[in-house]
Amino acid sequence: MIKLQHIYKIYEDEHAKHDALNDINLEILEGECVLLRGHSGSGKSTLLSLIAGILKPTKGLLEVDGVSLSKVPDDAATLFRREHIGNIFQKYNLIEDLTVLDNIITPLIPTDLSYSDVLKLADEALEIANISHKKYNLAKKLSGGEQQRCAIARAIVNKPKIILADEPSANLDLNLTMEFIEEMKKLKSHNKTIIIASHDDLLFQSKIFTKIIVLDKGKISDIN
Amino acid sequence: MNLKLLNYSLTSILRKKNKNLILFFGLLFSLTLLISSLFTSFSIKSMVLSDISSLPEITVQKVLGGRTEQIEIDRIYEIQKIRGISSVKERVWGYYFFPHRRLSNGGVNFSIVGVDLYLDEYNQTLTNLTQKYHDILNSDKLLLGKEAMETIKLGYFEDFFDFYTPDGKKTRVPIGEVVEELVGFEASSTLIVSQDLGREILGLNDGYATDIVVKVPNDAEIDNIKDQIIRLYPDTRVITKDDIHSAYNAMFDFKGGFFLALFVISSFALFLLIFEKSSGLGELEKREIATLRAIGWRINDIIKVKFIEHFILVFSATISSIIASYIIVFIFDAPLIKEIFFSSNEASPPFTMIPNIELLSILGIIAITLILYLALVLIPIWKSAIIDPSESLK
Amino acid sequence: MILTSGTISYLGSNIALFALSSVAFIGALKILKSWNFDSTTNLQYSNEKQSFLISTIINFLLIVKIILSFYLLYLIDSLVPFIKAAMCGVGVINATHFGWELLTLKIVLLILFGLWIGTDKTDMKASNYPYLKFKFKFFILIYILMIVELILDLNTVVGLDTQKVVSCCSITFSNTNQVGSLFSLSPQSVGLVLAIVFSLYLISGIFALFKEKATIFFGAISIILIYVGLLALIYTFSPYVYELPTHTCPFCLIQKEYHYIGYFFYISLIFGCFFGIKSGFSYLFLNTRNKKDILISIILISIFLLLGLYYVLGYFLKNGVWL
Repeated sequence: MIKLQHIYKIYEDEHAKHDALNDINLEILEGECVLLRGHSGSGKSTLLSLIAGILKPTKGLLEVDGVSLSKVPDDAATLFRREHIGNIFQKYNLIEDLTVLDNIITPLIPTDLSYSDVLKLADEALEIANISHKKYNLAKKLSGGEQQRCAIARAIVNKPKIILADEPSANLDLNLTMEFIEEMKKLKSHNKTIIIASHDDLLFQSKIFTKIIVLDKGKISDIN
Repeated sequence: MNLKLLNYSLTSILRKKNKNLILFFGLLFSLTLLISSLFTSFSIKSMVLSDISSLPEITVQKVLGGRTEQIEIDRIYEIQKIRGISSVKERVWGYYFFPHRRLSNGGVNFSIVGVDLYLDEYNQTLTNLTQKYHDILNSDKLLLGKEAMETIKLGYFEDFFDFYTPDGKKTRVPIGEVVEELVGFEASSTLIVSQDLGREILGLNDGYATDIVVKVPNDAEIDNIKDQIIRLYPDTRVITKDDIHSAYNAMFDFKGGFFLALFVISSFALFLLIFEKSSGLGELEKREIATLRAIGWRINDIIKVKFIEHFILVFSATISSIIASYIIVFIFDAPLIKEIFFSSNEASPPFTMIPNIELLSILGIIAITLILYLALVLIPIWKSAIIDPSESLK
Repeated sequence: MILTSGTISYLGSNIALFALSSVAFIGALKILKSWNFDSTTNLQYSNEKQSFLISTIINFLLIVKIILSFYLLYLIDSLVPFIKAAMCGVGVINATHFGWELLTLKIVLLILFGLWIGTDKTDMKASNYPYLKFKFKFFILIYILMIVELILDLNTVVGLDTQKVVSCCSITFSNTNQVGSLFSLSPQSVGLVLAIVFSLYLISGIFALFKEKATIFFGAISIILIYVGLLALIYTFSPYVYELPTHTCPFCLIQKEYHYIGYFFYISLIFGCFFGIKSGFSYLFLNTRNKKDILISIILISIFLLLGLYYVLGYFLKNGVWL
């Protein structure tokens, strides 16, 4: 499903050179649920962005769902993202002045789907993420947990095969984190490939992960 | 056309209400300035041109040392012999200055028209009026339009009007009738009297007229007949209708064009000012675009949405300013703007605008506004669309 | 020189468009100099973004240029009263130095813009921008033509001679041997040439639907067809539209008296030929062959021809004689 071979990501400007990722080799199979652990700055977010096609590797081979993302034009990477990836951002990145429903359908707006199909997909996603009752509320009026669920609904509305989440529990209390883990279990049962980057021990202790990868200073230090 | 994108653009405009309102009113103001001055120019132009179109094809004036002099009516008989002419008629007319301190230029110039009571006049309106009010004119009374009546009322004239003839005598003329048949400039500036009375007011001698007008049914003959008249009377100036037509046409289009040029320059400055303010994206907006990019919007999708936003904005501003201009010019009678087109030394009496809109010019203005505006925002739009999706992670 | 709101708006927008295309031109030069698709430097990424700006600008230019060409036709018509002897648009154009050359250049540029956008679409769809260098070199050619266009535009408006004694359409496009005519062509001979070129066009079009190589020939014939089609419109069809054997004019066709029929003639002919040229161009330079282009071209050209025949035969049936 996801294959990385000798992946390097080097940020360069006039003053300094920074190796965000250094010779990463990794394979993730379909339906796996993976936890990326590591301190902040260890390259977790960079790795997620590479898999999402948001960033391009400096060197190496990156293949996601049969598509080589190592070097594709921006349009192709974006179309890939639109069809295959669901992204849950650390700060949710909802559009505050839009309703929950309008937020959830944003990934579908540039597609050729008809409006009724879009609404159907949105209802399914609302159901799975358990936020149907707030459908017409403005995003800025939601509580933290509700925002999280709204973000999940938006990430799955396009029926992606791969779901990526960056520090999903950073703004959640204990109960909400447990709720989030339940959500992920539900998605796992839908046979999605899930990759979560987090240094939260609560997530680490949950039993949903099939693989745990530890990153340190841009290198994989442990896989189990 | 993706309706979902259109819908997103619409809500996006509403979400950024304050910024868009400023932009909208800035556009509305400068466009209204432009379009109302164009409306005024169209309207005045068409009023002048319709006056001219009632003229016969050729006008013959006598010129002495560069001045126009009164012309002998006898010359009609010689001119009549030229082949290709359908009728020749003398005209008794001229300007009469009516001073009054409450009028904007210290007074107005009325046109005095002396009509022939027994023969057909050179245009239909005058012929009809002469026939209808024959008795009134015959008893040396005055015919005038509604707006002209209002002007002389300023001098407390209700039932009569006092003319001062060139020899300094005061001639009191009773007002016969306020007539509806006079429209446009005629309604505000024309005073109709009998030929004899007209001669007295204008200081013309018996057997003389202001000029002679000639009707030519075949347009192709006009230049030829003009040459023959000049050969017959070398002391005359012969003016064709086309000469007058193109002179006026050029004058009004030049004024319209001049104001448009001024507008383009000043509004460019305004646009730039507004854009300095509006093209800098806020943190929130940057984040929104980066998020959209991260969840699968292509650069072109963002460009489309932004483009539609600006298009709706500038299009609605253009339409609103056309409506606003219509109200200003034709309902409130174009205050201030009218003065621009009639400079102070022309002393024309107050008149009412007759709506006349050249549809294609308006379409042209709309197209040009859209083009200039969208060309100007194209690069800022692109700049915001290429925001890196990884910005959404920060 | 005539300074009207129309001419000022027209020049103003053309200058604005030219400024915009200069931005695109500078961007294209920069990209051509440093493009390396396999590189992962910031320079390359900013090049990729820049190429979006250029294609946005050119898409915008095409749409606006189409609108402006209609505006120009209207503008020319509105200038008729200013030119002493002009009776229709032909007189106005004759009063300029390079009016006819400018109109030709405008048609050529519209077609080139269309081809560029086709190239851009193909390029963006592919996985590695295979035609990027080609399309920006192509744009440099377009830009050079745009400079010429702007100079001619300025020259036309500024150099318009209102006092010049111009010949009107019936003399400029006369089909008898008169002094001052461009050339003398009889409606029959032009009609015959059109019939021959159209047959070649149709045969090569049908071939092109099945045989790839024939597309090149089809594209080439389409170029010839624009020229022959315009001649046929002026000399063969227009007298039947005007119902006057001596009236051969490309301009009066677009006036209200003739139900604006000229617009339909021009649009079907120019767009029809454009799609024909595009199919040949795509095959020659982009290695793609789009049967849809060929079909659209044949349909549009057929509309053009049927419209012409409708007037010719309609006149014959009504009056029983040919003009």
